[in-house]
Amino acid sequence: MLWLKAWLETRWKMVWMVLMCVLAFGAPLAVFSSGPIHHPQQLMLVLLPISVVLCFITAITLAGSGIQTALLRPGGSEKGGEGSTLFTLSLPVTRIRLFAVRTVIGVLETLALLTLFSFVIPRLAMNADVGLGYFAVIVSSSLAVYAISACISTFCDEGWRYRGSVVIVALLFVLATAGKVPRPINIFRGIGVPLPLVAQQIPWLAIATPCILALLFFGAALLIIRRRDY
Amino acid sequence: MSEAVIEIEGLRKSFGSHAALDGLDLRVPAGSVFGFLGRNGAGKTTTIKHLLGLIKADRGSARIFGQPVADPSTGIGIRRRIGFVTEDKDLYPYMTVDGLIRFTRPFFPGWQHDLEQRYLNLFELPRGKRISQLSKGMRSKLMLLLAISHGAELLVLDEPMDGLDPPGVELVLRELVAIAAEQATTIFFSSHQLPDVEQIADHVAIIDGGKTLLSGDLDDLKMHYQRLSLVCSDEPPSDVGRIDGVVSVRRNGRMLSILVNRDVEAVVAQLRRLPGVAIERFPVTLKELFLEHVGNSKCSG
Repeated sequence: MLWLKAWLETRWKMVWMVLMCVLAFGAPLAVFSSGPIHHPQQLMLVLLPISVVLCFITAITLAGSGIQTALLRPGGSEKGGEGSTLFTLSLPVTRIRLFAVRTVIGVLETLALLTLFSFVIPRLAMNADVGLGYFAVIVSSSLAVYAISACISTFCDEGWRYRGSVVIVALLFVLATAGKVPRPINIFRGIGVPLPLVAQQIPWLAIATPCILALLFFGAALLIIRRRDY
Repeated sequence: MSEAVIEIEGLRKSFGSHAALDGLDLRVPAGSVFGFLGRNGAGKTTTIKHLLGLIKADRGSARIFGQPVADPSTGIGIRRRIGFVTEDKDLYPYMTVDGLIRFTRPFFPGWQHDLEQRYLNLFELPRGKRISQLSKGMRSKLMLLLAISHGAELLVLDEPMDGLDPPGVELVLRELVAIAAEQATTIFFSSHQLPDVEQIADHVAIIDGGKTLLSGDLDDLKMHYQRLSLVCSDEPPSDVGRIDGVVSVRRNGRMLSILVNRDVEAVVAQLRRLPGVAIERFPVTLKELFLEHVGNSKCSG
């Protein structure tokens, strides 16, 4: 039943992200379709950065809606106002299981939207495909973004979590693009110029680095959740 | 002495520099209806949260059914045997009454469908209505239904009458008494409605500043305490508060209201020796006991 609950609490966020996707992709597609047809790769160069930003926004949005509303609230208060959190935590379920269900649902939803942004839209709009390697890079980077946001949500309320996540991820992205982030901790090391648009080879290191960092952030979030007061 | 369902010893919990619990001691006998009383911020909700494993204490211990609540390995088993009503009565607003019952059922293997049906009817809960459309009183009733229907051995209720109208309060009080009597369920509840507590509780604890001020069988406590009304023909004496057994003295003109907690006969005998006094004896109410202990109103004549 926790799976159903997690889905019920996040489904509208997914719908919202699909709407954002339509808006974000719709304008450039309309411009290109009304003008002379360019090579799909040119259109892809415009759409892919939009796709990347959408993927990260999706990860941040779902990390919050998936976890914050039902489990992670600011603790340390002896007063009420924690919403349904107390009811949830009073169920005979471990906090780890609650977090795990939330995270798995949120990551699956993020993955579904990432597939939409990276595969379905380009395929439908331009009859073009991105490379599997590129998709794997996007997925792993988004997973790291999700984990960072989930970790922040363990000690911030929803508003600060969202703002904090956006600022931190944007800052990391800018620093990574400028080459200021050491490669072993660069969650965006696979995303850059030139984009491996159609490359079919798998950039294992660029995929593994964000995944490992994501695991570390999830681990940190779990530690905080286990220890903190609600 | 009957077996204790809840045992708390020297519980301490601070939030920053504020000590929410400051060495709280408590013993809740099995099968009792236990009123947990205190002012706002006295530490009631913090205690309840600790019992449910939602917050960790800095020091001290708490056990439910003989098992430590701070141990995560026993927490799940304890929570499976407890029914809980939260202070805010907040539930998932997007679910319907029926949906929430369906959601909650699988967590409790001992779910009793007959009780669920009984309380759905008795509390007149609209099965298809969303939680967001329910009043606080209806949410209270729904939480009670969820707490009772899984056959809990202990009900932990944080302000269960909050938001209920007077008939609703009466109904809930009656049902709580029935549950305690018929199913031997221990009921541990906090409330600011002292007449309601007095109506159903057989044990009470009064806490303040995170400490237990008074705890025990309500009838015993009421037997130990008596209120004496002393009317003086002249200026009332100023040293009545020093008499052994006198807890507090309130002055109102030439009248003194004296709370005595032991040796009532001896106190009365001493007071009768004063010239020109008339003495009347009254039983104390729970409200009086509460106010005397947490009202900070003690004064010496």
